[in-house]
Amino acid sequence: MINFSDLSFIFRFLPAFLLAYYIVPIGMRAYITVIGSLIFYAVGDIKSLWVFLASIVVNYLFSLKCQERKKAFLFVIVLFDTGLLVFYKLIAQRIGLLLPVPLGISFFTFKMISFQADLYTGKIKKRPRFMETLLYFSLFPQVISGPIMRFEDTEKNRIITGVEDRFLLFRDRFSKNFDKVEEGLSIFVMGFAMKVILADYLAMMWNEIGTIGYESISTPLAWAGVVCYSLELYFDFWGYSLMASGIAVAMGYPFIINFNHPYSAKGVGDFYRRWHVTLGTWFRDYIYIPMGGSKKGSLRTIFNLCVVWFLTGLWHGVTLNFLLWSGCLLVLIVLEKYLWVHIPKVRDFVGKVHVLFFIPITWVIFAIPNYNDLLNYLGRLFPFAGGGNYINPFDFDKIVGNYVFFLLTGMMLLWPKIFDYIFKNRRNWFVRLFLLILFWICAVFVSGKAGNPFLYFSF
Amino acid sequence: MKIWFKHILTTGMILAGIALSVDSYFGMNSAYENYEYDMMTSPIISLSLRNLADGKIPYLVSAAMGKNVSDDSELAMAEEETGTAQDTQEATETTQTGENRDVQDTEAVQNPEDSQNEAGLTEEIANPEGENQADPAANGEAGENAENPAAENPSENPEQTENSETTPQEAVAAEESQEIKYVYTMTSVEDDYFDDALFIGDSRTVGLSEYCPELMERSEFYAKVSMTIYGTDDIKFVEVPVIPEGFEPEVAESAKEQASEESPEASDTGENTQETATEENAQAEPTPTPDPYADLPKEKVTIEEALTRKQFGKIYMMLGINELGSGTPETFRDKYGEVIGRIRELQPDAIIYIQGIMHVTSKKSNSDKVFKNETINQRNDALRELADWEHIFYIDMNEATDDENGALSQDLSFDDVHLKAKSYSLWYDYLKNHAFIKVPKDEVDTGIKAES
Repeated sequence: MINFSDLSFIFRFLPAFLLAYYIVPIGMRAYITVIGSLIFYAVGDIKSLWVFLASIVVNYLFSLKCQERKKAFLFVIVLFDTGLLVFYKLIAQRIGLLLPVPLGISFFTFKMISFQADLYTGKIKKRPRFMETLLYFSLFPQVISGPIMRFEDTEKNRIITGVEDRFLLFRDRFSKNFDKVEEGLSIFVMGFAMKVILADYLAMMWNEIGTIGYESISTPLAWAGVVCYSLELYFDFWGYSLMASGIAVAMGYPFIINFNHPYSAKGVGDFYRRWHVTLGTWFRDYIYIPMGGSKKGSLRTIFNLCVVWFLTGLWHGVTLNFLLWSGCLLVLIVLEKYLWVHIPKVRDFVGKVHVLFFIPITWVIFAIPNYNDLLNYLGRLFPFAGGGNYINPFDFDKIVGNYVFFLLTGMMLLWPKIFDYIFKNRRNWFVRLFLLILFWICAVFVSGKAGNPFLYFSF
Repeated sequence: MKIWFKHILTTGMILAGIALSVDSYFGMNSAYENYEYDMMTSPIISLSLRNLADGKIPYLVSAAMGKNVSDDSELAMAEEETGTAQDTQEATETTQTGENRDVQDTEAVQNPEDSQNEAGLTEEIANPEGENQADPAANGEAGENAENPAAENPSENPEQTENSETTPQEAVAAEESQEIKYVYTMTSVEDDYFDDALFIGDSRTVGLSEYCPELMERSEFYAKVSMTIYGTDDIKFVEVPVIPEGFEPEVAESAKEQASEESPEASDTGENTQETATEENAQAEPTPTPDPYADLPKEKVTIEEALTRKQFGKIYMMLGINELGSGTPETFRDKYGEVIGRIRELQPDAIIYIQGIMHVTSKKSNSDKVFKNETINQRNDALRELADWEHIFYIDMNEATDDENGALSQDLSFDDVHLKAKSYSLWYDYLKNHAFIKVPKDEVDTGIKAES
């Protein structure tokens, strides 16, 4: 149920929640959201609910002192939040504790750190009440995988506080609320379609490639796999982010951009200003800039970049391939920043090559945690050293033939204009009619896969 | 009203959502009763959505149209407009099945003779019954037989006496026989053993067809992803040539000529005929797909239909992973037995290998509700009971791919269910080392049967 593309979420939790949200007295909206969010978290991971709630309480207590600019308190609470993340993700398994990693811990600890830092620096001016803090951390659309919304954005929600519709007549209020829901759902459907029609099928293709075994795929298929996985990851996460943001919009929150056409970027640095934007800006605002950013000379800048990318790699996962992945990106970024920048003609070309050629390859490194598997895959991508066994040269035709529609549609959507057109015209009646049809098609797709485990897992 | 129309997306979601939920509610106990539904895990609307995903129209719509809603038949659920096309389709199907039945009937009639003959088959072939029992299937290249109406065969029978001698393989190991000539024994074979082999299976066998170079060039595969034992007479996917009326492939024709030339002798001198017949049989066997069919247009038929068109020497089956979540070992075995029975009718000369269902990895088995090795083992035990060790054998390739826990070795599989490309050689090696061939009983002093 905690998966946004799950039928139980779409046809049970979400309508029930939105209905309750708009039906209860205006002052109760925040409470109903907290209740709904805690139910959502409990359904997802009841065992870790206490960790989640305890860390919220601790953070609330410290927040009072952080706002008074007590540096020691800020230091301790940031250490606490980081420690929580590091303990569950890095240490617990290593020392043989079979503790499940709490749901969404990578995201809620980051929210907490940004919250404390913003209080300390005075970016958050008012004193947050406990209810607001609880609401911000537990908000169900964002609790599992972001986007990492800043606290200041919560204050822009004029529905939940009632500022916007408190004094309106029922008719006008109804119309206003209906607008919000319609707006949110239209964004949700865009994400839903990306996830269900593109990402899920591309994931099946990626799985088929794995089933053959990386040592036995033909080189053309290996390259198709690079495209496949890059698109799968992109539409999975972008689709998820749109769904999450769409739900938040339906509740009155501002739309949070998490993906801004990364594949149209001018270089790797630009790519990561457009990819998972809320994470990138988090690292920028709370690591890179506090360390001096790029204002303290080249060597210091490179060092800062190293720290940021090391932490980024670690945040995504503890296996070596994530460090290798972030290391590759670091090299490309440093090259862009200090070498290619001096030759403008080369810079643009190299930037495009980085984005369209090297970044997809880095995703393969990102995708394959096992060192030998990764070597096998890279060996098939660049078969100069020979290698590979039991290769069926027709595997490309077969697999790509089955998924060509999804690959082509995915590649077409890399072109920003298509999505931008739909997004900009989302208030157009016909666009919304299109989205309605798309929604029901997707719902049928999902039911065909999820409703019948033997269809989805058919061997 | 206007406000609802203005918010078409939300309104459309709500209205269609309610409509489909109501449809699910009413169809729950009739049209949708076959869908497994758990109220705890999925909303009621999922029933109607799944029905749509299966390409059928909603229950209430079809009920309103006064159509008789049957649970299984997709045709009955098809839209009205396709009604006429549907009727003709049904008509052709019935004629097809009618033909099938004819073929089966004639064979069924022949079978008792077969078995009599088998029982009594000795070196004295001058068995009078032998003349009548020319089995159309016995001719290794009898691809055209399927097209020839079954009625033609009886008239040819007297001329094709030698065909009865091409079946001595059948005769082996018949227990009542006083002079048993041959027994089946398990041994290792060379690649060419698989020249006349057919593999029937699901995605795992599809994998074998793609990543076992030795089999790719030799054997035929009637394998399809998500295939089940219930789909052998249902799912049309096997590509076979459409043979036009009166089309006579050259190979088969020359064989026939030979046959008619030799047949008079056959009735006269029994002993010589046996030799010539076995020789001819040996010549005929190693030519697999006859070239003359290559240029013909192809049509897709079910496995059972395809088995009426071409004869095989060995038939390997591995099915069962996809039906693991439904039925019991007994219902599964019974259905499997039924299918094997039909294959025996259609392919009386073939050795049938029932392969035990390949295990899944421990990881899968321990985490999945359905795909558990215990269940697979139960089903395999049930399958083993189907073997008669004369024509139907049971082999279990898990011996080649299991780890010490009796699960599929983790390093052989990526997705915990299928073998990786490089792992298929283990399966093939197992098949090569667990092949049954018939040997003269004299050579096997102890007369061990294959079981041991």
